[in-house]
Amino acid sequence: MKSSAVIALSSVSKWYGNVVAVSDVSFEIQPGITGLLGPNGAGKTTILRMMSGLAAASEGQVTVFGQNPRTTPELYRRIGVMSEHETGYEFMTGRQFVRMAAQLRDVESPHQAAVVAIELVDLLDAADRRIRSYSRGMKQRIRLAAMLVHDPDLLILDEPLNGADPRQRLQFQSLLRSLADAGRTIVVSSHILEEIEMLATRVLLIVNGKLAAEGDYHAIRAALDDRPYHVRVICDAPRALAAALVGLDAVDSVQVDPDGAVVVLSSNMGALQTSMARVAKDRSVRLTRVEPLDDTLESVFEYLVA
Amino acid sequence: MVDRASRSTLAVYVLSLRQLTGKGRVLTIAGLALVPMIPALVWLLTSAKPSASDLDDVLINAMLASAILPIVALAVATTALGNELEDKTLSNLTLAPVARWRIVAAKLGASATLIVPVIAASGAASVLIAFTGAGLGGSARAAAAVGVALAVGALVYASLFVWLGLFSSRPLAIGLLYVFVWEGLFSSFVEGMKYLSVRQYTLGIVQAIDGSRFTDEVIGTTAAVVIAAVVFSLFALLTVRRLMRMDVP
Repeated sequence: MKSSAVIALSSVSKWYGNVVAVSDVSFEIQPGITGLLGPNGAGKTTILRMMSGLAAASEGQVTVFGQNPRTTPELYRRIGVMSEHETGYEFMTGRQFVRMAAQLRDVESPHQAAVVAIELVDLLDAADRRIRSYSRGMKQRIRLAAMLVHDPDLLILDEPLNGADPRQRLQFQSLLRSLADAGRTIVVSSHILEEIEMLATRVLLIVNGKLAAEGDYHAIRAALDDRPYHVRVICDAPRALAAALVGLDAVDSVQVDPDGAVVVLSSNMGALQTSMARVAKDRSVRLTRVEPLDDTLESVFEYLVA
Repeated sequence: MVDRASRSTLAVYVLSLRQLTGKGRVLTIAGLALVPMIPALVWLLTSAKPSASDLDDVLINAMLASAILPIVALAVATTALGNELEDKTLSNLTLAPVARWRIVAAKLGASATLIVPVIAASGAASVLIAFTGAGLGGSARAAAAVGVALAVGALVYASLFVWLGLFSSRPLAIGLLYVFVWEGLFSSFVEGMKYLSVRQYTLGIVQAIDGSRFTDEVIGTTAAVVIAAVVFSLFALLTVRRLMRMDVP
């Protein structure tokens, strides 16, 4: 069944040999700016590559405007992709590169379209210099111009702010917002939370190749904050500590594992940390190790917030 | 009136020609193309007068068909798509609304544009000079036969090596191994292998045009032309298939 979403991933997995890069991911993307957030190596680029048709899904289905981008080259009249690679045809000037992008997409008046796109990224002054002489930020901008030259309905950008200075970041944000306001669908990936927070109205949080959370940024953060966590405690008197912890407000449940470790479930990590230390001191219990068991999402999020 | 798809194909072709005509590559190809001129000029300018069969074996077979033709084709055609892969620029083409077969056709066309005239001119000129120098008759016919045959061989090699550039991350090493082991050894000494040798198709076409060359050691004209066409088409199709199925970096 065809989806009405601009992009739809249905039970999509991607593996390279024995390495699973993306595992059973499903989501839909509608017009507006969607941020793909996750640490390096989480699978963001692989997901973007499957969306843009550069990589095939090992399992599941990817559709863009209801069609498979791998088998429908005509779709690229409506799609602009800016991949992670900095490299372009460095022997060309910026103007030649953008004009060629226009010619490949059969844009009317490729020369004029190139001028408009280069002006949009504020690079007209350097348009006739060879790309190999550009700074990293300039290369990003000329690639952005090449992506925009055919005025696509869908923009897919992988870490687009790499190498951009603060002024360029602001320009870039403003440009993407105006494109989104004009009805475009924009997907932007980043491992930096602030970038996504500034740009995207909706966030897809990718962790270890899986979709860990999706929705409004603030809703995701709240969900993470409210989520109960398992904490494993190693001490010299596990049963005494467990008995003392049971009565605390911060503790949802306690169990003593066969190996003598105390596993505590808590929805209030801050309160647990304070009260556990007090209880241990009162009962003369010596704590040797306190570690979160299901810290993946939390640690990722802490990493992203840091 | 050129249609939209053809305009996009033309853009890929122009880009490819520009990529393939980098200064270093052009100098290498020109240098290789001049190599057969050296013995030809020696024969023209000195008293050394080789026989017709010596020219067939040394100049046409060993030098032109077995070495210069495949090496020039290898140096050019493997980079047509291979460099796009290595430089991670292939996505600039596959993310455009251009059918994969058109990308392959443009790459193959650009490779052939560079290889065919260089090889054909090098072969025809060196044969003309050598046969004249050796005082043998029929030099113009021999030169035309070699020029046409090398052009056909260049097309087949171009198709094979464009595919190899996309298929392997070490196309030059594999290509050289193929040229010297398969084309140089197996196709000469293993019975039946000559039907799977581009060198043999080339020599077969020389023989078809100039009946006095390679009279009894190469495959027949029909086999040479038909199998050459099949091999060319097969590798062009394999390249399209690979480009459609692969993950583009």
